[in-house]
Amino acid sequence: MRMPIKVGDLVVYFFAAALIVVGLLGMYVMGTESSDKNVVIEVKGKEVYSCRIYKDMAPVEFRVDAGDGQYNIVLITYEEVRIKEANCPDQVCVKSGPIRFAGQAIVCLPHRVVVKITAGQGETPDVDDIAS
Amino acid sequence: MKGYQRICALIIIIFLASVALQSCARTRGLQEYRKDIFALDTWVNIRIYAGKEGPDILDKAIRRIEEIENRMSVTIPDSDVSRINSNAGKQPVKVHDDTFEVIKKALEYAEISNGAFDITIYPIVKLWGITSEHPRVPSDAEIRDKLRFVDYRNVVLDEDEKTVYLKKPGMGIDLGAIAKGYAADEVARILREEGVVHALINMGGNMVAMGGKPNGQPWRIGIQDPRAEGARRHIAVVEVVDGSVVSSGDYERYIVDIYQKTGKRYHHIFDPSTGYPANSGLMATTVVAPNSIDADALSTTVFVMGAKKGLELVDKMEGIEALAITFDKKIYTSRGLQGKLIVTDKEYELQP
Repeated sequence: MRMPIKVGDLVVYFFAAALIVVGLLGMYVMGTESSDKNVVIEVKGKEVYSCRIYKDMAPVEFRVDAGDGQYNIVLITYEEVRIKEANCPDQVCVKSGPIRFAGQAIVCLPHRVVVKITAGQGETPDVDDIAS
Repeated sequence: MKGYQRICALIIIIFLASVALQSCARTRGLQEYRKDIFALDTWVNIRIYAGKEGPDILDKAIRRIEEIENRMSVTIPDSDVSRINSNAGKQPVKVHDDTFEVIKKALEYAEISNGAFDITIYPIVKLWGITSEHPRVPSDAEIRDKLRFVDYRNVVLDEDEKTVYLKKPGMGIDLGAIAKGYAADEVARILREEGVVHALINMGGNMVAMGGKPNGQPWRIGIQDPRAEGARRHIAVVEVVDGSVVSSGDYERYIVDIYQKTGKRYHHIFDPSTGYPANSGLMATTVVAPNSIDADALSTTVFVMGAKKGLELVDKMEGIEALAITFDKKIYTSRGLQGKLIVTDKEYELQP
């Protein structure tokens, strides 16, 4: 015997379909929303600063205090991250120039400062690591 | 109440489906564990995907690296290598199986490269002291004097007794161009035995990719910019599933001659035929191979031999690929790497 379609059934189906659409949309939005990169600055292995880099952000100039008057000034823009100035003896970190992609890093060995770009949540990094 | 039951059933189905989707996204309960240590004269970073036993697996891998270091380091006084060197010209020295295996492999590479790769380079390494606290540019006479001791054919192996003998007093071996690769392979072996499927090992720039990433994609390994000074910055990318990527270059460890004000760069990879830093027109080489010990030894070999001869050698070897970067920022590759290398830095030009 053929059952007639009830109004209640329709409501449930509609509700289920809406839920799936909203869920998928949410996943998509979350996925793209967090697709930015982060900059993480560490001194002696400890994180001292982190921030998100995204389009149209204002440039950030962060002075890293590495202790004993040692400092590195990091310039963070959407396009690139570099060490603008430092009072380390070898100046290798300043000379090393900018980094741009997730997975890259600038190291100041004398101050034991690491400035690295990491991929945002759920985003594929440009490289997972570097053979050097 | 049929409608009510249906609603319940639907809600349960939606709930189960979303749970299933979620767990897929979270890669079946695997978690990322990382460990950074300083060993084998370099930074070691291991990243694995495992269950709760992750930290124990990492500890086990680290212990193996330390064991290898204690046997193969040239600076640890009672290592196998130090004992071999101090008994040069005196007597054969019994060594651990792993040390024997690495030296045997090193001699194979010496043979196929016609001595471009030679672990008996140690007297030259010591003379220059590039990685020591007091590096210097020695005189031609000093170099010629030490070069007399450099010849891999004077290393005698006894397969049954597991002994190594250096025929001439004054000889010495240094496994620095191959031991890291061996250690990386050993870490991979231990991880595999412990059931790890996805891992990324960085042994001072020697990369080993185990499996692909947990999300099914290949690992993306960057090739170091040879002129990035203190930065870890790549100029190209290779995608790897199960394999090793190792780079060598004049940028890793070097001194600049400030005494004679030439500004010349003296790096740590020596040409066994001259006793001077290899001068084959290359800034860097990278080798991609199934095993890291091969990639490690070959990256040095290709660097010493130069782009043309080095890549010809690699082209003859099954499953192994390489690239060489010249001073004018041109990238030459072995045949199999053409089309697989993604150059990301416009300053560098991939050669056909």
